This record gives sequence, structure tokens and C-alpha cells, in this order.
Amino acid sequence: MANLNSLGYSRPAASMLARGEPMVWLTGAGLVVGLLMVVSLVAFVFLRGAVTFWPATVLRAELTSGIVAQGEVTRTESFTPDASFLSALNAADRDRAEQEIKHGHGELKRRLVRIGNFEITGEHFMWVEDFRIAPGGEKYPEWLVVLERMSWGRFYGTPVAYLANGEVVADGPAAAWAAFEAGDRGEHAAEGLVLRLVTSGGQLSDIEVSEIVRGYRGNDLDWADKLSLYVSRWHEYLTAEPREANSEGGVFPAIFGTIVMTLGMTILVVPFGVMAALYLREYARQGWLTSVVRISINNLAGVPSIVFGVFGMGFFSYLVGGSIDAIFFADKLPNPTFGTGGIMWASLTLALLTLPVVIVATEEALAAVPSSMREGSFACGATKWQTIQRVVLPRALPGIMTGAILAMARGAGEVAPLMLVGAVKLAPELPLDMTFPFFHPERSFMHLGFHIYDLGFQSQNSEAAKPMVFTTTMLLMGIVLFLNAAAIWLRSRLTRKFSGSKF
Amino acid sequence: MSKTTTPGKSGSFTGRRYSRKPRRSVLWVDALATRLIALSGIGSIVAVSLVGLFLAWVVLPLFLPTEISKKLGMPVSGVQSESGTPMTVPVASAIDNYGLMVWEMRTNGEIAVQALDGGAILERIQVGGGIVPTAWAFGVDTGPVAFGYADGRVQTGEMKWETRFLADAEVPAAALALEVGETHIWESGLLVRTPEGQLRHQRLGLELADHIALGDSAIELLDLAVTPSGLVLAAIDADLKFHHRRLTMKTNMLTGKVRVRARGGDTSLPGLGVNSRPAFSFLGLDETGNLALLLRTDGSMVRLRNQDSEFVVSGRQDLVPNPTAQVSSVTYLNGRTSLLVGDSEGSVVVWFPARAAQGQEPVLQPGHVLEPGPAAVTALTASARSRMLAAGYADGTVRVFNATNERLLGEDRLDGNVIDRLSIAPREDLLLVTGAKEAGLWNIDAPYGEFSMGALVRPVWYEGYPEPTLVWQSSAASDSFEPKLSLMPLIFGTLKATFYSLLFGLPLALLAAIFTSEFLPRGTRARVKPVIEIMASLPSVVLGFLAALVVAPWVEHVVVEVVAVLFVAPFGVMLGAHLWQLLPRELAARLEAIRPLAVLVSLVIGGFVGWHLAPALTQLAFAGDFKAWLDGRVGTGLSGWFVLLIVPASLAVGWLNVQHGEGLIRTRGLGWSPLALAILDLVRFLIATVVAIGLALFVGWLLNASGWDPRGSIFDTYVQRNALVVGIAMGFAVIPLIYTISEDALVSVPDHLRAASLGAGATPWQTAVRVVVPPAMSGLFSAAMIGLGRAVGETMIVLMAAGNTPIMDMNIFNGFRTLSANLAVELPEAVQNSTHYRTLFLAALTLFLMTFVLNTVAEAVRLHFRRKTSRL
Repeated sequence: MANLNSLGYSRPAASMLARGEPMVWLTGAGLVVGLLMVVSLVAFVFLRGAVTFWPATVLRAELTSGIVAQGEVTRTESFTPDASFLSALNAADRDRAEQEIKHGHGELKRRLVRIGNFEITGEHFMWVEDFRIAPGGEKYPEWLVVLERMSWGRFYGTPVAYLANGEVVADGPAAAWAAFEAGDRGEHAAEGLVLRLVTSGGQLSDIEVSEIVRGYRGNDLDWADKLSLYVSRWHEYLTAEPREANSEGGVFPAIFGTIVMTLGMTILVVPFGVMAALYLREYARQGWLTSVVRISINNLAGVPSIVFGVFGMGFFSYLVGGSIDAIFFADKLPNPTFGTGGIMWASLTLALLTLPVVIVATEEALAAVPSSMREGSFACGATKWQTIQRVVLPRALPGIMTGAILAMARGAGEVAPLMLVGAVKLAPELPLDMTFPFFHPERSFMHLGFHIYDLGFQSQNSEAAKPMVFTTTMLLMGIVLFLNAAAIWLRSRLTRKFSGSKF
Repeated sequence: MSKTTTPGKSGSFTGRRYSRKPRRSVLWVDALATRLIALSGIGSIVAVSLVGLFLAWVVLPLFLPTEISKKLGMPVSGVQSESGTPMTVPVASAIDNYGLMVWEMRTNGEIAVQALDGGAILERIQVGGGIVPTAWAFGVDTGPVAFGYADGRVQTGEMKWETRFLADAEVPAAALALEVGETHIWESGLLVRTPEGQLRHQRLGLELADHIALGDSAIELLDLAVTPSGLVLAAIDADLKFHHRRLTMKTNMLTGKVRVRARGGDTSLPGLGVNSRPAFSFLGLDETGNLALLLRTDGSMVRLRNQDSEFVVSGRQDLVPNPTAQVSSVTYLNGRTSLLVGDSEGSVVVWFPARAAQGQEPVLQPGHVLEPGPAAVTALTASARSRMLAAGYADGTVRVFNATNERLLGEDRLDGNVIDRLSIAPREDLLLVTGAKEAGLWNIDAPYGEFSMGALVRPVWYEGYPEPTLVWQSSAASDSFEPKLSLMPLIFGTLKATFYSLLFGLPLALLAAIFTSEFLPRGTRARVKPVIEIMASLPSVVLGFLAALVVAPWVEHVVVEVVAVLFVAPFGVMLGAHLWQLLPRELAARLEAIRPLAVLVSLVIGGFVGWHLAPALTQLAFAGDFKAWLDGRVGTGLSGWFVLLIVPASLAVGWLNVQHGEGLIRTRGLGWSPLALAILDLVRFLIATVVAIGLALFVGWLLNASGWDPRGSIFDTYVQRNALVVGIAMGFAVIPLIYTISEDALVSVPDHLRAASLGAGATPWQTAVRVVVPPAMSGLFSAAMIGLGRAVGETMIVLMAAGNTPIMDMNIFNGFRTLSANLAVELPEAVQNSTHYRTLFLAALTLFLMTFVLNTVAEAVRLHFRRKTSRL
């Protein structure tokens, strides 16, 4: 080999560079990071979303300052206090804090307690640092109850008495609570029933039973109780109307709005998308014009969704809707009927947005049908439409369905255009109901995606809303992921089915 | 295939005969299907392409030329002398909200109300009961008025259009036949049929209160300002004494008489009494009533400021530097901040106070110089709605401008007249021109006068700003607010978002695609790809929400940790690879299936180490407090340079290592055992790392020593919602897109090329880099373009996680506002067909075109690539 070497050849084994192991590892790291990103994000959302409704323990923390914080612990964290934080404390607290800092690697532990009782405290949450709690002041009282109410958020207190029409029926925590549990609550409850509780501040507070959605003793739940509470909260979440500026209650109108809007969009987009693809692939003469059209359609798939929203607002709501109003609803002007965002305009806008997706998918499916099959059909004397109807379309159907499902997934997850064409924070009426004409295309609607945006960003009380946002996020992601997984599954089945059969 | 059984004629042995012709219905259905499919197919395609066209159609009116055109001629309202010219000159006038009538006050103290269609005089009101006022002031449009007299007294009052709706029984019979829009003269006003069919009567009402004595000598100049706490009145009398009063008005419920209570003082200011200078020709109070401007005909201006209820001279300035020119017309622009000064040589200059340093008196700046006119400026008037103004000249020329963008909106002439007075209707659709001999009504056709192409992209000098700037600020609480519509901050934000998201996402996606297509077994690949595709389907609202409410608050506490992980984790992977090389070849080959796992482990270890290095790094490089370091309060710029330079330095060192180290080893290392070579390689890698760090530090030190500090530009004060967070979140959106397309491109490189390369003795890595990637390059490029397009148009993530402040700041730790987020924020509130609305559509069109171009380029390249690979 020495003579070879003298000619300038070298053995590959002499070079580590050729093997490129570090570079291969770097590319591998790219993939690993990508996969980690997806998995961690999905896992994070599903974990956070799933635990929202699991009841937390109810803490009663008696602080050195004499204040009593009472409520559910929503978050525990360690933080590094800065100098101004420490200097604001009184001497005793500062001593304890410094002690803790010394033992805890420079960090302090604190808990975010949902103290509720908003009409009394004016706050929903309170940070409780561990050093502030008086010695022995951390308790989990047996009779501390959590009430979920129609308004004002949650209430934490210890029952004192149960009153009917102003008269004490049951006295003492156990009796009062038993009386409360025995009767109905919420809207089924009789008038005049009142549960009297004592708050953390020692104040007495009367709460009408008809105001109470759910009540339980936070520290006296066994596993089965917690599970049933969890299930009941999920049930409420999926079927009830929102309360408390969307931060409590359910998201049924948003689920309903999302489904109706997506279905409307699908009904609009699939026939037209398939027909456009049929025209392009089967009818139009293939030439430069069709390729230009094809490129443009591909491009439109990449146009930002907000641009479609702008178009939908200007064209559908203002121009078309405005004209409809001027002709048919002139008596209601200047209040717009169709001339503003509505579910029909949202469906149409999203249909336009997803039209390229369907066209491209259908075209691919049509192209995958071997031309020999068409020729065979023609040879048997079938007309063009008969060939398409009986030979081409059945064969392309899975591909078309993949396109339709992808379009649905995209439509269900899209929010930006909806903000311009009719998704609202709170829609009093569903777009589909029992009053004539049953479907109300002009109504604005609630949407899960917009719900997330609104709750996370426009909410007055975003800390209280946060768990709900996670649940809604989980729900929306669940829907979209399910649809996508269906499309992917369909596609892989399709490739398996047809990959063997070549003509 | 159509079967028809035709009995009778025998032919086939089945007893059936196949017809050669299909049934009529089949043909009919076929023809129908063809038409229907063609129709709806073309219809759908047209509908989709309508998007761009419609956007352009909405935007178009912004670019249409503007003009003013004469509607009709009118007689002047003043009583005319025998020669036909009026003996008086108009001093003030205003058109009503409906554009039907105008009031005009002349120097003789007479207010004439005139119908705009034809000029019939509806009413003449004599102010002062026969005593001719010597000075006058009018609030915005109509409302409070004040008149000053020769005896030093001032009379205030209220002048407004009185509108009432009448029943048919109350009006004369002639008015009953009025069609919609037609007018009828009645009771010193006009009756008009509204579009709703009602009859509306409108006339001018003037209520005057008691006189207030300011002094003994004649009031020469008067102005008033309407402030939230009441009226403020300022006057100059013939003794050049300055009077100011704060007025509170009370209406007597029984008599309807208005009683005025005045508080204030008279100031005899030393500098004012000098009579040798030309007389004052203008007195103006600003919106707050605390600042008075006095202007002489030679252009010298004195500014008086209210200090503890006492007006003192706070500045002097010359507003007409040209010595030959005289101030010939002055008025405030809407908002009473900008002063319009017209001179005898035809120039009109807009002066406004630029924001000054703390404690310093702002100086008026000649913010806008309008196109010079042909003759002396004789009339200037400002619209009460926007920054529109009209200028009249001594030769009869009339021009309408927009003050902010200096655009000439229209020009016309009232021949043979000196223009005495102009009034712009409140709706900015009519302009009344009063000349010396005749008057006329002009249509103003400039609905989008505040728009100009230049103002979209070039800095514009707005009122109160120290210099011309690029600003996007579309609305504010105050009425006199001027929208500032420059798209540049939004385009900058879009580019910033795109840059940072691709900085993170593009390399990651390309690397992942190469690994998937070249180094992953087929079975694993089929399982990995859908997972990444799932990532593509994550709704962006979810990403935005997580970025803003989870990632942003978390990253804020661990910035250094995150940055350290970004740098140390790749190092960990590289180190892991070098350690892997130490394994015997056979073992490594057998373990190849778990190599991704090893990558994961080294990545995690690297990340872990990076995370725990961070506190030490903070102490070492950022003086213990990263945010203080960012603010420039502690530490030096060296560590910033290091962060910026470490990647280029590593690349440079790596390249040198390959170029010069490799040949040496190939010749000297012949016959070494693989383990020895691997150890050597590891040692080289470690040395290269040290050298790269050293190089980055050295260059950073040089740059720092020459006085450049990356803080203040690329690194600056930390804001919670920033480009770094957006970059990470947007990674989720662009990575799967780029990954999928580039992986497809790599896979479609034919296998025989790989086989040939491997067969010729190339390693898989050499095959990937030298054989597979080059033909797939155009596909990778198109993937990057499409990723770019997605990043440009992404809305929800930036809307939620970018903070949405339209600022132009390179700082990675600061927010921005993109075109798309701006649309989502502002379009729902924009008034339909307003300039703001159309400008937002222009932003949408820009976005549309940007992505369209990017995608077209990508598509063209992709087609090229497909043709090329098909030849391979």
C-alpha cells in the first residue's frame, strides 16, 4: 500500500473526518430536539389540562402578621428574593427568611393560594411564603369547605349554620353541612335556603344555596370522591355555559361553535375543492395555463391566514353582508344583521383558506390513479363522467378524504381569521337552535381557539383562568391531533393499499 | 358502458344487443357534469385568486388622485359698495355639519348666514348692538365666541347651529312637498327633508353674555381656548397690555341670560411695550390655555407661558427669517399645537414645538414647508377634523394641503379676486372660497388626504416629535390626535420575527431532515415522520398561549440558563460523538440502531451541564446580574461579543482544522490503530474548542476595546415578551414545515446515486454531504422559502408572545409588532373605508405579496429540482 500512498491515495481508515461521526450526531441532535419539542409540548399540555379539575387540598395558613390565608394551593415554587423584598419585611420575618435562604441554596419557598371570597377580599390569589406562616400555623382543617358559585368565583369557609327562610335549621359545621348535602343546589335548589359560613377572617357570610354550583370538604375527600368530583367537573365543562367571564363553568358554546363552523366549512370546501381538482386534472387541457393555475393554488396555501381573514371581513362581512342588509334588512339598519362577523362568513372564509389544501390533496389523489384504468374504462365505451364517477373517484376517495380531514384540522385550529369574521368572547345564542329557522348563519359564535386567546389575554383574572385555558388548549389540541392522526393513518393505509398494484 | 336490450333483430347469441351509442341520458349527464365541473372548478380557482384582487381593490382609492373642483359660484355676503366690491372683509366663517349653510363675520361686526346652494342670505346678525367690535375670537368650529370693543370691554357668548325636527303641521305648505335633500328657506334658516323623511330646521343661534371690562384701551387681539376646566381668554389691547381670564359661565334658568365669572390678571410685560417694532398681528392660545403666542407682522414671535396664574415671556423666535417677507396670514392647525404661518411671498410653513429636554422650553420647529405659492398668502384655514388646510393667495389661487405629509391635494383659481377667507366644511367635502368680489363653493375630493406613499416608508415629522420618525400609532384618546401610519415599524417587526424564528428553526429542521433521510433505518423513519407532522398541526393559538403565559415568564428567570444550554448542548453532542468513535468499529456498527438514543443522552447531559454552569457564568461574564448587565449598568461588552462570536469562531476553527489538520493526519497517521486515531481526533476536538473560545474572546476583546458594545443594539433591556421567546415558539411552526419538505427532497434523490457512492467506498456521511445534498439543494432552498413564508405570516404566536409594541429595536430581548398581529389587533376596530382601514388592507396586501413572491420562488425552484432529479 505504500506505493499507493506515494501516488497520493490514502486509506480511508486514516481519516476520522470521512466518517463524519460528529456531524452525523449533530444532524441526529436536530431530529432529537424536534421530537423532544413535540413530545414535551403535547405531554405538558395534556398533563396540565388533565389536572385542572382534580381537587386540590385546602390550606389554612395562619401568618405571623395575623392574617389567615385559606384556600386551594395552586402552585408551589422557589424563588430568589432580591434585596428590596427582604428590606420590606419586619425584623422577625426577615430573620426567618434569612434562615431559610441559608438552608435553601439562596431560595425561598412560596405557595400560590387561591383565597377566593372575592366579594370580601377583593383578591383571587395570594402568595404565601413559608417563612411567613406562624409556627404550627399550617393546617388542613377537616371542615373547611370549597363552594363553587354562580358568581364571584370560589368561596372558602367553614359552615356554621344552615338557614331556611331566615331560620336556623341546622347548627354547627357537621349538621349544617349534612343539611346542605341532603338538599339540591344550584338552580334546582329551593328559594330562601342559605348556608352560613365563617371565613378566614372570622367574618360570617351567608350564601344562598341556589348560588352554589358545587360544594365539598376539600380535606375530607377520599380517592373515589375526588374522582367523582373530577368527572362531574369535566361533565360541567363539556356541557355547560361559561360563567364568570369565561373563567368558570363550561365551554359548551365554544365546542358547539367550533364544530358547526368547521362542519359548515367542510360542506363548502370539499365539493368545490374536488370539482376544481377534477377540472384541473381531468378536464382542462394540460398546458402552461394549468401549471400557472396550479402554482398559484399552491402559493395560496402559503398565504397567511390573517390575510384571508382580512378578505373575509372586507368582502363577506362588509361588501356581501352589507348588501344583503341593505336589501333585506333595511329596517334594522344601522344595526347590521349580515353586515358584521357571523358564522356563515367565518365558514366561508375558512373554506377559501382551506380550498388550496383540498385541491392539492385531491389532485395528488387523482394523479395517483393510473391512466391505464381510465383508458380501460374509455375502451369499454364509458363516457368521461362515468369513468370519473365509477373508476377514478372511488380510487381517489381515500386521498380526497385525507385532504378533507387535513382541511378540517386546519380550519378547527385556525384563530387569526376568525377574530375578524365573527368569533366572539361570549355569544349569547348558539348558531343552531330550536327557534325558526333553526340555523342562524348571521350569528357570531364562540370558538375554542378564540376562547384560549381571549381567556389568556383579555381576561381580568388571568391567573384564575389559566387552568381553564390549559383544559381548553388540551381539548382543542385533542380535536386537531385526532383529525390529523386520522389523516395520517388514512394516508398510510392508502399507500399500503396501492403501492403493490401498478398497472 | 350502456346496455340496451333491443328485442327483435337477432345478432348476438345472448339475445341482447349492445348499442353502439350510449343512452341519451348518459350523454346528457356527462355534458352536465362537464359544464358543472368546469364552472365550479373555474369558479373556485377564481374565488381563491379573488383574494389578492379584492385587497388591491380596497387599497386602490388611497392612490387615486385628489382634486378640488368648483361646484357653484356665490355672491359675497357683505354689503357692497357702488363699485361692486364689499366695504368689509370677512374675518371668520364656518360651514355647518350638513354642508348646507355658512356663517361669515365681517369687519363691521355683522354675521351673515348664507345658504350654500346659491348664496341666499338667511339672516344678518349685528354683534355688539351697533358698536363695531375691534377684536374677535371663535372656539373650534362653533361654540364659545368672544368680541372685544374699543372701550376695553369683552363680551363672550355662545354661537351654535340650532337644529330641531318639525312635524308636518308646523311648517309652511311649500315645505311639505320637499324631496329628500331639498331645502326651503324659512324662519332665518333652512328646512330640509332628511333621508329618514323628517323635516329638519337649522339656524344660527347667538347668545351673548354681559360685558367684562378688561381695561380702558381698545382690544386689538383676542383669543380663547376651550379647556376641560372652562374657557380661557387672552387679549392684547392698544396699550400692548396682555390680559388673561379664566371664565366660568352660568346660565340663568329663568331669563336664559348667561352670567360670566372671570378670574385672571393683566400683565404689562416689559418687552411688549416697545412700539418701534411692527404691531402684533396674531394672538393664539394653545389647547390648554397656558401658552400664548404673539406674532408681529415681521415674523417675530413672543411666547408667553402661564406660571402660577401669571403669564411670563418664555421665549422669542423669528418665524419668517426672510427679511423681505411679511406675515400675511396665521392660524392654528387642528389641535392648536401647530401654527400655520403664511407670508407675503407665498410660502406657508407649519411650525410646531418639538419635544424638548426636561426643563427646557420647547422651540418651534419649521416641521413642514408647503409648496411655495404664486403670490402673497392672504387666507389660511385649517380643517377641524384633520391636518387638512386650505391656503388662498392674492392672485386668486386656492390650494388645499395636508400639513403632515405636505401633499398638495388640489388647486384651483377664483380669477380676478384676492382670496379673503376660506372655510373647510366639517366633513372635509366642501370648501367655501370668499374673494374680494365674488365667492364660490368647491368640492374637495380628497377622502384619503392624510395618506401618502412617502409617509408609509419614509420618516415623517409629526407634531411634537424631535425629528422625523417612522411611527405606527393609529389611534389615541384625544380628538385632535393625528394618526401616524408608517408601515416600516411593522415590516421591521415582521422581519425580526422571521429572522429569529429561522435562526432557531432552519438549522434544526435541515439537520433533522438530513438525519432522517440518510441515517435512520426505513422503519424508524416511517414512525418519526408523522410525529413531526403532528407538530405541524399544532394550532398556533396554542403555541402562542404557551409561549406567552408559560415560556415567557419562565425564560425571564432563566435567560442565562437557556442561552448556556443553547451553546453547551451542541458541544455535548459533539463530545459524545467523539467518545462514540472510541468504540471499536464492529461494536459501533452493531450499536448503530441505538445511536439516536446516544445522541439524546449526550444532548441531555450537555444541556444539564449547561444549565448548571449558568450561575457560574452569570457571575463570571455578567457580573452576577444578567438584567443589570443588559441594561449596561454592570459588566463589559466582552461577554456579549463572546455570545455573538462563539458560533462563527467555532465554524472558522473547525474549517481550519479540517483544511490543515486533516492532510497531516492522513499522511502521518497511516498505520495507526483506529483507537489511536479516535483519541487523536478527540484531542483535536478539545483543542479546537479551546482555540475557538480563545478566538471568540480575543476578537470580542478587540471589539470591546475599540469601544463597540453590543449592548444598546442587539442586546438591551429585557422585556418579558421578546424575540427570543417568539423565536422558540415559532420554531414549532416552521420546523415541521421545513423538515417535511426538505426530507421529501432528500428522499427523492434516486437511490442508485447512494448505492454508487457507497460502492465506491464513500462513507454514509460523505455520501450524504457530497452526493445526496447537492442535487437536493434546490429542494432544501424551497423548503426554507416556504418556512420563511410561514414565519412572515404567522399571527397568533406573535400576537400573543411578542408584546405588540410597534418599535424598531434590534434587541433580541425586546418585543415588536408584526404586520399580521397588527391586522388582528386593529382591523376589528377600524372604521370601514377610513384611511386607517384601507391602510390596514394595504398591510394585508403587502403580506399577501410577500408570501406570494416567496412561495412562487420556492415553487419555481422546486419544479426545477423535480426536473433535475428526474434526469438523474
